[in-house]
Amino acid sequence: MPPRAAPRLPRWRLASLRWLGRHPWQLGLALAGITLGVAVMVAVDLATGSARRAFDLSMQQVTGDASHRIVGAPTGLNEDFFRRLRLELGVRSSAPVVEGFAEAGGETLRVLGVDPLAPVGPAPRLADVEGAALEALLTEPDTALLAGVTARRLGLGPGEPLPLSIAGSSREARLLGLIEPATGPPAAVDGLLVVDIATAQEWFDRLGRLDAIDLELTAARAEALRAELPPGLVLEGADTRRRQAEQMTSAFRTNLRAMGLLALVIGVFLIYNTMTFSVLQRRRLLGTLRALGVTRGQLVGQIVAETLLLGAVGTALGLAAGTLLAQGLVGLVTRTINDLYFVLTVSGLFPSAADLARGAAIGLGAALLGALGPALEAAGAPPDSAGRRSVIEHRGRRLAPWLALFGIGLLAAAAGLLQVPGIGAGFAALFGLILGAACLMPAALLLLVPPLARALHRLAGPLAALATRGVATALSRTGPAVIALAIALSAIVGVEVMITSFRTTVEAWLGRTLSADLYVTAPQRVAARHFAPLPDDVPRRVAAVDGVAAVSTGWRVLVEGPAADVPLQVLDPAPAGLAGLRFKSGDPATARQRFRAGAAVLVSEPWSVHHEVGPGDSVTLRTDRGPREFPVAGVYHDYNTDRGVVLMHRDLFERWWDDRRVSAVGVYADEDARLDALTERVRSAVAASGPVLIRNSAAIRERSLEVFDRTFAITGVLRTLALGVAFVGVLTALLALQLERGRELAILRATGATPGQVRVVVLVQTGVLGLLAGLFALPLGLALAEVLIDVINQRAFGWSIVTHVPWATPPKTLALAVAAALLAGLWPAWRAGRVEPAAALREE
Amino acid sequence: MSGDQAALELNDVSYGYLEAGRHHVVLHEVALDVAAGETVAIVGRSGAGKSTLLNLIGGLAPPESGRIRVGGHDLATLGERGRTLLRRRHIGFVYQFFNLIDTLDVEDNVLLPLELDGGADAAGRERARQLLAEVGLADRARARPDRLSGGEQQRVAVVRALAHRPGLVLADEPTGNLDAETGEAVLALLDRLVRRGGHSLVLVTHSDTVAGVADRVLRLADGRLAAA
Repeated sequence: MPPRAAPRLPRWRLASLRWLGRHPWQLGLALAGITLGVAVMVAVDLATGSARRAFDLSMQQVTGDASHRIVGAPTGLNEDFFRRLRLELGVRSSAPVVEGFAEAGGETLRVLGVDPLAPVGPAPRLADVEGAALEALLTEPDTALLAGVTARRLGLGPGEPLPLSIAGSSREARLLGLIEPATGPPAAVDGLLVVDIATAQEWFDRLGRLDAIDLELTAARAEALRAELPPGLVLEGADTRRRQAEQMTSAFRTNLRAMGLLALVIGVFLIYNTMTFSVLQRRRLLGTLRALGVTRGQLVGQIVAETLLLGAVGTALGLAAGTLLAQGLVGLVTRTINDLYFVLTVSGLFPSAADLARGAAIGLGAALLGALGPALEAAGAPPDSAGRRSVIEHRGRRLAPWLALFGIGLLAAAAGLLQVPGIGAGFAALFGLILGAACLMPAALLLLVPPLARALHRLAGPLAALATRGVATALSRTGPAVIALAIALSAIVGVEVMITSFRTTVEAWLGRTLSADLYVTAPQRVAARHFAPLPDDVPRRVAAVDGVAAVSTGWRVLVEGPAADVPLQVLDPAPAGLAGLRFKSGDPATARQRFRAGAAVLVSEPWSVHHEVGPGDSVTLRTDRGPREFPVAGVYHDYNTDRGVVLMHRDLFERWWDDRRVSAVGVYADEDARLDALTERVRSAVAASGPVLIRNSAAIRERSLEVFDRTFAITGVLRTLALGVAFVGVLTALLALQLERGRELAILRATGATPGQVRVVVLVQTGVLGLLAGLFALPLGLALAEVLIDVINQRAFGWSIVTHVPWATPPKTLALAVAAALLAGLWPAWRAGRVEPAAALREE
Repeated sequence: MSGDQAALELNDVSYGYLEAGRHHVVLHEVALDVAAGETVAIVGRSGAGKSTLLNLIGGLAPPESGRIRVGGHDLATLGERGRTLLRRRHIGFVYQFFNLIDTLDVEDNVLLPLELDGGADAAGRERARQLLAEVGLADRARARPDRLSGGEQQRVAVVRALAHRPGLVLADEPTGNLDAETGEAVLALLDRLVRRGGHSLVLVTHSDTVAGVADRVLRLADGRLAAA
């Protein structure tokens, strides 16, 4: 025999490692479990993190080196103040800013009007534009600089015309050059269009006004300047806007995190599942190694090392898959932020090491957690190969009642946590509920399978009963599969019921509050929370139209509050206009009467929840005449924004602010007026004032629900991923089960069962498994929905939602459960049919 | 291990288990001395507790009461690690179902116990080859165990059990999974190698024929061990 090199690894290690290599399906499924689990979590983190970093980067580019910013009243600042600031107050390091949004090529551009010669702000950073000097903006009207990354996407270059739509009007700018950020990635300036301040003032109808002034100040100078500012103007730190954006989107991010965590729980369970199988199936090998003198510590160390290796590969794949997935999710996240919060362009991912490291730690941790228990168990057991399986099953059945008791304890703890305030306690309760229910499932399986087997015996004969009983007799394999599928399905039920309830509630609210027949607004596609004013004479012209019974007007503005800006909804309601308001607290009649009289404001439910303000309290706002307290008369249900709003009558607003602008006019038609004819008459009446958008309430309702559906599109994606993770879990369990049952199936074949009958046995078993998972998922899913609706959403967003369970949910869930299980059972069934009785019997 | 020391001593060893709240006795105050180089057969019906007795001797499970000494080492005074090291150095196992490791080839299976004790060096490899040649498997050294016949697998298992020169060999129905002719050949091989190497052998079997190779035959019935 030729000599050969000694193996580099000890033989007992090789023996265990090679087992993995000889079982590629198990290895692949374990890898798939880790990969999917990590990918979902990382994708959510990367997508939300990228949106946040994109915002930070664009802020850095736009504010430049400015340390502070002066912002004004809702109408902005008078340009004269800028001159006074420089000449009288001696603040030379200052730059005026006018901002707005424009549409070009289907994209929303952020238009920044700057003084090209200013020493602070974005101008110094834009000195190296490609194509032309920044100063050229001063001399040539309607010229602009566009972010290079955006220009390339739109197929534009220097010297080319750029058609724009601003508040419904068409304009054309000429591109002087392209902006590339001096530091940071090109995407940092994505969507930015820089023009001279005079051009911006003209485009946005802001002649003589500024939106802000950027400053570079020391802390001491800032303090001194703050004292010299006239009423209505505020000096804020450069990071204020970032903080506000963080606050605005925190509830949305919390919601996404909840979905990511749910997927993670399922992912961790799957990883646990696959690692457990991988160890248990090797119990004969591990037992032999122990008998030969491999110590328990060596064996556990080996399994931990293998798990780390497997975990590392799965995690690396998961990080790569998660990054790919995040490319898709970031679009959905950005769209929601644009729909609900503020305009943001994110054309690429900004992966952060922290997000990736967190994903890696979770993947490795879950794999270790999954393998450690079975490794310890296997390392301590004797190599009694004949009786081991029955010993495990016997132990499993003995443990089931204790596990159920533990589950009841967890459920009680979860119920207790629901009483603790805070979103963290809400999440803990949610996961306590899931884990508690999971612990109850093995005992429930043992209780439900015997009667089900008897029923199937009567209906379909002994083979069906045999298959059904297999679910209970192989509890160590079927239990984890049922739990994984049930958790995934319950997450789907919970989220679906939550979304349906939310949508139904919002639909009913829209029906109540959109009480006018027509709404006239300034045209703009920039959804966000940016409201363009209507020409001044529009309300008067509309009110005078024949067939108009009454009009209401609305205006949305941000005013300064004690801690942060307060969204103020200014309303001049029609006589019947407040009937649609439903109050959560405060006497409705008194609240309406005090609001109409301008004696008090109303606050929306989210505002009340976030700021702990209710009837009898007051809201302090900085008015044009200084700070002023406004009493609160009532809290009303409102689903417009999760930040919440303060609702103020226009009469009261005009008493304290010099702002007469209106962004929407509600038109109440005479009883006999035809709506389409009235729409035309209103259109003719306001035609001279400029472009306006006239929509009926049905169109607005439709548009609002469209935004709603878009907001939850990402949730749908995550829901599907969760089901995918669970599917892999079931597939793993079934394959493991069929491998284990090779001898049993061989006996069936040897005693005369055809391959087809063996396949039917396997499929009946998987169908029963799916059915039971579906039955467990329904009550758990409904409980999850209640926690999501009454605790998580209420605490994160501040909205009361009426629970609505669609009639189709229970049958759909059961059908999905059975279908997923059967689909996962196809391959194991095919394999089972091909088992060679002689070989399988000889193996034992 | 010195020649005059008993290879195995069992004093009043009892073992049982609880099922449905009832205590079932498997072994009751079992006593046994096996001298160095002695072959002892334990016969009994299926379920008599023969394999359990081997597991207790091998330190794979603890007795409820009584004392077990292997090569002078009291198992009760050894921790889990100590019992493993004792097994590694002083005990060889032969199972009914071979329990070869399919992921290692024949030679590596034989080298495994040597390697665990740091003896898989050139001399160890030479010993493995000699033993394999002695049982007629020199040309199958690179084969995977699952490609071998039952008789060949059990011959490899015997060689593996003896490779590290243990003082005590425990054989659990070593011919139980083989046909009569092959079983006889394997038994003769085991007997020859054990006697030549001076190993002690405890052989459990339900077959009186197999027990015939032993110096002494004991019967395990109703949890008690007595001369057959």
